[in-house]
Amino acid sequence: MTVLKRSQNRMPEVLLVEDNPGDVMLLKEIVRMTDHPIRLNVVRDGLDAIAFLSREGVFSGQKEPDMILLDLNLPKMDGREVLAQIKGNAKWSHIPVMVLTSSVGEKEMRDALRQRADYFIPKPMDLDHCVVLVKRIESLCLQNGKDLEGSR
Amino acid sequence: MNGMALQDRYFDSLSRFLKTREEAGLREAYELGRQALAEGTGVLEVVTFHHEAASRLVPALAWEEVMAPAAAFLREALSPFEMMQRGFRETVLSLRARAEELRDANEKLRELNESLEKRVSEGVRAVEMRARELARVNGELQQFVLVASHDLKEPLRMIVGFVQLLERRFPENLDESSRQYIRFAVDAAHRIQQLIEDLLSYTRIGGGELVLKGTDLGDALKEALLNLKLTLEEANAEVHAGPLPTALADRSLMVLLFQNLVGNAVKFRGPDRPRVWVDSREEGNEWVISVRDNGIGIEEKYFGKIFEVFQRLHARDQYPGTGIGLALCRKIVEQHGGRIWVGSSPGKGSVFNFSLPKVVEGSGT
Repeated sequence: MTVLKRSQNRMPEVLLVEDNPGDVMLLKEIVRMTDHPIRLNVVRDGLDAIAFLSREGVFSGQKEPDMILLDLNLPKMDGREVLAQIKGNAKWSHIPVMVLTSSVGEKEMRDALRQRADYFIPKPMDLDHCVVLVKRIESLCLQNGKDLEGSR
Repeated sequence: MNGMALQDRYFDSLSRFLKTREEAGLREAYELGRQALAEGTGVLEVVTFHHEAASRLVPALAWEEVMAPAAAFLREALSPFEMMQRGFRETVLSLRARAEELRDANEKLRELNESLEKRVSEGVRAVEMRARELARVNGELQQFVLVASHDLKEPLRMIVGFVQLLERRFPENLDESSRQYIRFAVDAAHRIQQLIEDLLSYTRIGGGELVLKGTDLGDALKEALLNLKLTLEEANAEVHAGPLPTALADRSLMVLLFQNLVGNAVKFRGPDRPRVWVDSREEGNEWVISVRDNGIGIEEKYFGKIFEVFQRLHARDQYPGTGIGLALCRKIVEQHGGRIWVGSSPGKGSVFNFSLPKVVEGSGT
């Protein structure tokens, strides 16, 4: 009972893997403007994303995110490789991954979905779309949390 | 003539000559020999007669007396054969010459063939090389557009996002004209975004394989109209569709084609309620589909220009657009082996026609 209560009350944790500081700042501003429906943890490259999930080094105190927002074009380790590692690891494969991309090529989308990305979203070209996206992320996280609680 | 009778008469003549020494007997024998030749008795047979006659008669007589006329006779008798032989030799020689000529000619022909073959294979290689080169350049171009559009979209997203953020975060610091400036900036950025999207779809067509199958153009039109639902409703437009054929075509491209043509017909509307008529007719081996409207029309001097990329006839605030739509239409139609053309007069509307090859019965898929 206490577990259920805590999970319903806590703020969804979202890991944003994005190297473009502009995108990061915009998303943070939107989160702020929409009264913080989610908590954003940001890493700037693929290696840090894996380190975050493994809770290595500076990430040792981090919790498992409720969702991962993943850019595909990343330094050090490509987003596709990050996706493959997440979905290929039994500890992480249940975490929903939303691939955010500014290229809307069908091939890219097919590849991402084949690699078991849970969502494939073009990066919003407009602030209003951005607001909608953040709200959608929140509701997906909550929905997923409930599903997990229900199945436990 | 009977051979034996000839031989007997020959003997008789010769023996008469030998007995009497009269030329007449010899001449008779000679004439008989000629006659035999003339009638087709072979030279060898005549010689044999003569030899037999001589060997029977001569022992009693001096050789000289017989041999001189016999030699003369033989020479004469053999002359046609010699001529034949000569002729034969000449024939052989001339045949040999002909054979040499033929061999030479053959040789020349072979050389010609070889060089022709070489030239053809060189030509084929050159064409293949050019095709490979073209495919490579085309691929590079597509890749370039993909990368460029990606890299262009990124900063644009930043511009739009932060300018809008400015408006949201500090509304109290902005007066009406500041807000208008921001709207202009955002609008411009949105236009670039649209332009990039259009360019991208223009480049994609021709990159991928066409998915050709029997496509009900009526269905494709219906889907295009569904995609245009909002535009059609806003303009209070009326679309009339006649019966449309099933053609061998890429369905999604046909939808895109109708969407652009009908969309244009509504966009460039005149003062009246926009009406669009879509019809089809058979012309020889082709279907011709026409999209007619009651819009503002086009001057004839622009009929070619409008199908080029980035060609616009109107100011942007009059009729928005990127100038890619009709170029896209032309690319789609030409990829299907058809043509696109326009007929129009200003103020009276336009007819956009495009043709698609008809599928021969039984060969369709």
